[in-house]
Amino acid sequence: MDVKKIAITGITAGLCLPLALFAIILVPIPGLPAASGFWIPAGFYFVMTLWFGLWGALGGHIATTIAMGYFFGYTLHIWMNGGIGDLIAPLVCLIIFKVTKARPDLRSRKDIAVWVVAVVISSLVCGLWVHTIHLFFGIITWPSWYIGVLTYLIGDTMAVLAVGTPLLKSLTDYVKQSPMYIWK
Amino acid sequence: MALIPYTLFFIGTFFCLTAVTVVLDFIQHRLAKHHYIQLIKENRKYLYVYLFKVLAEVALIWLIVAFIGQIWMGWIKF
Repeated sequence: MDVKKIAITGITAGLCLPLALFAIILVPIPGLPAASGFWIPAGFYFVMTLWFGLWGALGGHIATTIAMGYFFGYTLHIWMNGGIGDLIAPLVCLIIFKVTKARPDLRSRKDIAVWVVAVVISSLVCGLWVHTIHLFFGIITWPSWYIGVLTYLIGDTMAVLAVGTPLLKSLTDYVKQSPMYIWK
Repeated sequence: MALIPYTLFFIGTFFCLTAVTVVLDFIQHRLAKHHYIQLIKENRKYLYVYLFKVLAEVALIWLIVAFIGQIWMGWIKF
């Protein structure tokens, strides 16, 4: 196991944890456990995933799981479901980038278009995953399912585009020099 | 001074100084960008230090915004 990869995961988790906590506190969605209308940590772990692959996504997963679980006292189901949703979302974004051969430095119009579309699709997938599982387990009801999916779609997309876009555009050139950068 | 609660005054000062430090750090980096690029080539550890410092600074700015938002919504009172 590479210590650097664990460090990437650890630092991503450490950064995202307080952001996840305050995103839930600041923009809560009534009736939906551990949901936020502006999921700011996603902006960070999406970017880390595009740079460093699975290790960045794992950091987001750990942060979300701990933020939802330990600090808010939710059940294990809600901890794990939200955490897995936030693990899937950046990986979906990464897969879309790989499939379309776009680059995370967002230099061309194609890269920017793929970035926007990938973020929307990833947020939708995350919302569908989390709230469909919640629905199957009887945690939420049908009206909340619609609100939840829409909230995740809008809240995650806005946060990722607002935070992630400047980070990708300004820092990717530096990250390219790292041996852990996955786009060489 | 009596018009502003001491806690708000202290936290506000701390946040202002934090924001100013972050802005000055960004300006410093822009001014000496080519030196930093050279430094990264010489010692790769600096790349990670710089990267995570910027991410932490962005997170700090967000937390300040979040704090102001919570005062605005009436969830934090002084």
